[in-house]
Amino acid sequence: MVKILFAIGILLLFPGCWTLYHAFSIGPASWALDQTVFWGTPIVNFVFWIGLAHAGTFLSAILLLLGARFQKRISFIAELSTVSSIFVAGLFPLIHLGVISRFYFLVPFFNQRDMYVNFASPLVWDFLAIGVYAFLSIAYLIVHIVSLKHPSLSKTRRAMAWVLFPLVLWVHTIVSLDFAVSTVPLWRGGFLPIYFIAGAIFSGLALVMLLLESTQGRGKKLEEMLLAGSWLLLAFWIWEFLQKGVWHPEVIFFGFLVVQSFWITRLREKKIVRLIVGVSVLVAMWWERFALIMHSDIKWLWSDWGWFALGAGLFLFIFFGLYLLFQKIFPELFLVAPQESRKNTPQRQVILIVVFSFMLASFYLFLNHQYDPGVPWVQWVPAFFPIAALIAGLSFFVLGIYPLVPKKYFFFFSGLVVIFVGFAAGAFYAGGNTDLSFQSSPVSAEFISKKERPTSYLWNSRCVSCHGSDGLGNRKFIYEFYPEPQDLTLERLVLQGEDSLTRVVLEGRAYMNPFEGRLSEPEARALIRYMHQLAEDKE
Amino acid sequence: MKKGVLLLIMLFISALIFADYLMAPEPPSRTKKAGVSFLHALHGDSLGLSCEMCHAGSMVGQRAYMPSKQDCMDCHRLPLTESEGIVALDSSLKKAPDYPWSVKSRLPAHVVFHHGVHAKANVSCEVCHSNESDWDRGVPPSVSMNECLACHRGEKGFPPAATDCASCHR
Amino acid sequence: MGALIGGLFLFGCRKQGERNAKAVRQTSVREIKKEIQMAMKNQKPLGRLELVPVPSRLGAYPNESNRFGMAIDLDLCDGCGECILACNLENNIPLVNDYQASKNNYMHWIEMRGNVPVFCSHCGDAPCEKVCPTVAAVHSPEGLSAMIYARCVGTRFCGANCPTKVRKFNYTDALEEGLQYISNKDVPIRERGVMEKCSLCLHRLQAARWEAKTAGIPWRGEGVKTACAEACPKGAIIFGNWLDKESILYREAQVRGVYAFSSLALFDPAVVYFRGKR
Repeated sequence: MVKILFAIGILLLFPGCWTLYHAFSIGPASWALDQTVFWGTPIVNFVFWIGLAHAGTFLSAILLLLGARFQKRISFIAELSTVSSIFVAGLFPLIHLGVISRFYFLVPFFNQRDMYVNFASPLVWDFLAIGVYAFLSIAYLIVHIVSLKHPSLSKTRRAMAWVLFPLVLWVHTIVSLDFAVSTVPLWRGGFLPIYFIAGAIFSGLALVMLLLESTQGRGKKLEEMLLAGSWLLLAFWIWEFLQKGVWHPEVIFFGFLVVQSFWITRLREKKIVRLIVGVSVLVAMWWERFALIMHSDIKWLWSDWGWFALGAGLFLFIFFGLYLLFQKIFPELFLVAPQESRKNTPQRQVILIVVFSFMLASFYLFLNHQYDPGVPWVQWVPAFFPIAALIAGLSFFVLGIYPLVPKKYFFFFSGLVVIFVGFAAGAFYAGGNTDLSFQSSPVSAEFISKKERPTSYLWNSRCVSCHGSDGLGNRKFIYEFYPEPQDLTLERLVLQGEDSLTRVVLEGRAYMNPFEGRLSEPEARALIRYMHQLAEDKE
Repeated sequence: MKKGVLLLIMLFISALIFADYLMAPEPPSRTKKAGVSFLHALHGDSLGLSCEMCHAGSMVGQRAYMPSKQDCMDCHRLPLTESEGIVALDSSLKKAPDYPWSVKSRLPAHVVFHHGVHAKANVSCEVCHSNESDWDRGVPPSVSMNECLACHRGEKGFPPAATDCASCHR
Repeated sequence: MGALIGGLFLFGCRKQGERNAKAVRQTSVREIKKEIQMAMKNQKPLGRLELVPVPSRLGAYPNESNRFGMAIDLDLCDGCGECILACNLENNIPLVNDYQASKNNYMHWIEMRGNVPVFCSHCGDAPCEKVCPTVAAVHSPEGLSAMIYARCVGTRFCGANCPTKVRKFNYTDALEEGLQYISNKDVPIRERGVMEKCSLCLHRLQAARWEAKTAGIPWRGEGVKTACAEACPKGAIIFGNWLDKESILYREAQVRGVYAFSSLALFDPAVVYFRGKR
């Protein structure tokens, strides 16, 4: 079964990757969007997959803390599912971007342009929170694996679970704020965060149930939770209907009515029914996100279907690929539940780490504030917890794992991570080059301009080299190199008259240069008047 | 342990600097070679000539233009010095096209810079374009956005100016 | 994580290659006119208008003496569409390909809705600017809701958040597909993947301000008219400075009914509609 699903994943990746390539080369025009619907199926898929990821953490971390016993059986599957689906989820916002090569503009990190992200935008919080969540989920999985050989590590695992528990709620609240803060009437609503979290966990339960069915067997508790979740979601759908007047019969059918078959024990005992219910919940939750985000009858293109292949293929590929890999390397992972040691992380250490991470997070916000003082403090808050969680989670991880693995490996792997992160930081700081291919035309000599230019400027740029800025001659130049020009006295100017002097300017005389083509006639006349003025000023 | 941590920090910093170096913008020189050798050092302050004598527009216009051959010939119609190079110069000037120099603006199309406004605010050319000897060595002026912003915030000795995006971008 | 790893390898991906100016097929004014005709045939309905107060000083810039804006006189406007052509030529607005045209997805900054020109209202409290993650949509002290194309990553949050949906997204690379007509060198060509919208002829305002500043005289928008206001044969589009008590715009607003879209009324729009008497 596992191998078949892995193979299906690889098969799905072919159309999936083709869709991805198509999207990268054509851009957002490759899926269904227009000038009124700007958020399309990639965003729907993003919200769907990030929701699936949350349920994995919910089942392994939160239930671990609550001491639920069935958690032991499913925690590994759940964590693996989290890591796989967060990878899939992270891909979709990137695809969604119009200019992918500028994605690093979203990183709240210093850069050489002295430009900063807009911390009022939930997308920035999103980027930060999901990045932190992804890192910690991977670390959490690693801790789980290492704790098989070293049961004492389970205290680290519990500590990290305490970090992940609020983080999950935080992350999905932020995802819901992408919609809740907008002006789109359908997206607004104070209940959106809790609605999103409930939906995420509901859909994720279905996914974990399916994965459990396909790998190890039944999870009876999951079925009960699914049943309970369906009623919770029904409440939200009624709430949404009362508030906005929209309801989706398909969602209620697949997400609520089908799940009710679990009440009938005879049906529930059949594996096929359980599988159908799991898939039906996933369909319902996808549909629900789609109805919320796109709310339009815009015609789909083939790329929109391709995202299914990409998402499912990538998920199956990563999940079952890792599953098979771990089965080879750590067969004990699948035999026994990890031995738990009851010992907790020393309280002093916990307090130290919490204080340390909150201080560092405050410091990060302080630096940001120095960088961009115009932003009110309240807008930094959404970034605060993810940063603190990252620091705390990583500290627990490093402190827990450092004594257990050989120093050689520890420093080798942390060296790799550090180089990667440092490289990313440097790249983000420098940014890409500005595209100069759209240059304005080359600047060469100034042609006679259509507009009249200020006379003083013309005098300064055309006449001063010989006549001097005051009309008395530029001594430095003419004494050494050039015949002395005529003195521009008032008497002389009056004697010659404006017309003849204009001709001199335009056509030249003796050592005087012709300026025809570089000055228009009105400009030349204006210059003569300017000379008058200069001469008058002298006297 | 201590050594290891130190090593990790070193690795982080060197990776950061390396990436920064790799990504750093390095615009090529875009001045068209004209076949006329020209030294700013010989034509500038030593003769009492200001930049706008040749680069028309640099004091009031949006753009500072390059001189046309006619602008050169204003003075070079006469043999100006007794040095030996003058013969070579005269012949190369004779062969040169009417508009010997052209420069491609280093500003991307979405950035605008008005020379006149800055000249009006008493910002001399050297503030952004470095000095005469650099031009003669062919060092291109390098202005980056954070330098613009630092000056506009009033950190470089000039009074603060507009820092909103739409005054310099379009 | 996926985003981070993927992103690192994506530096430079989907980058616009060196464009060869010679290879670019230019469209013609005739084609632009044809497209405008097509766009005017499939008009969306005009939203609800409601009375709003005369735009005034922005709270964020108490010392600023300019706030530019426009008014469209609905008693004069007959929806001829001349303003669209003028705007397209002034701002190098590209044509769209057949596929986009079939979906009625034009790039025109001004679009006719129920024979009324509709474009960005330059809201003083603009919803699009608040949600832009990269500060590409920003407000200028002079009241323009500006768009910095080089900063735009194309998350399209602004477009989704704009109540009137007047922001246009570049789905196609107009230069590559030969849909671009470069008629004004002062306005940059937008690449694929960035948002754009009415800039209130920002380049004209900038040029006029420079001239005034170089000459050292205070400037309150004299000598500037947007391309659409210039082109309107009925003189129905009035450009001006809301804070300049001398401007026609301000004086007209005192005696006319000032309307704006109901969906925008709370956001302090600077582009309004005149209709009837006060």
